[in-house]
Amino acid sequence: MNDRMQNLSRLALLLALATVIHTAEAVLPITFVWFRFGFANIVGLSTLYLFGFKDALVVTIGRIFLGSLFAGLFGSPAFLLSFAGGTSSILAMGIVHRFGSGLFSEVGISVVGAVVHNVAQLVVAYLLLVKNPGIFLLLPLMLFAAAGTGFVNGLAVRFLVAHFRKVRS
Amino acid sequence: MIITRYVTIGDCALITAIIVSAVALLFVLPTLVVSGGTNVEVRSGDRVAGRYSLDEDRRVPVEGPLGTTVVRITDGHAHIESSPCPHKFCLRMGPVGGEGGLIVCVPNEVSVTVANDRADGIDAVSR
Repeated sequence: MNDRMQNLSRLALLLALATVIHTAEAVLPITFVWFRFGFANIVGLSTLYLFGFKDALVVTIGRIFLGSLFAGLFGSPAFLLSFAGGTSSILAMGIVHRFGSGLFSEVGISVVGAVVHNVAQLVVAYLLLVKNPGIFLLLPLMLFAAAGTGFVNGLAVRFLVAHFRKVRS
Repeated sequence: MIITRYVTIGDCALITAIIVSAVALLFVLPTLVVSGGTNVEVRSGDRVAGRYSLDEDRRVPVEGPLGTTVVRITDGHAHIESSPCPHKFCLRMGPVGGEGGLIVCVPNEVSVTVANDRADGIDAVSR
């Protein structure tokens, strides 16, 4: 019983943290930052490393729902894109973490997540919103952005996970 | 090496592969994505005489009140090749291409419009 309570409150804390980061990022002006850093994914990926895939899925999907509620974007196209990107990204990261963690560190998995996030968003945007194949011209730019943000976030996850394990032991 | 303290060889390979493919896509995608789709619409008076693709070279004769105006599509551009009108302004309007544009021959009531499918404003804004 005590264990379950601990798990639940830990999950709630992580979800709250991810939601706050997600919401804070949503209000960044698009003129200066045309891409998202995806800092909220630091929490999601750390959860994947520390507590497993199921918790990471809850944290990621939960923060997208809550974050879009706070930002007033719930149900909008932006929410759809966010949801598609976040879900496929955490799925991809889960798969790579499960089968490829010998090959990739946190940084590699974070980059995979960032790339999948962007590609999924583009595909959904094409299918549902824009319907003009010209949108895929954005793909190279988004890949550059994904490589950069994925790298930075991956390093953050690495330090966070290492620190957390040190503190816990 | 200090770098392997933070990233594995796999990470480096992955990031390199993504950047390389991004650079490659930067050059490949425009030719894949933006080809065709641009259309030439030839009108005679109120009537649409025909719609054609800019990608295929062709010669389109159009009947007007004064006679036959010949529209020619070559190298992704449309221009008026010959016209029975007195001043030949339409010939001097030059070619219009995929960036969109319009040629009009007022006396013979012929117009050539190139629809610009690529940059038709903003369809959606989202973040």
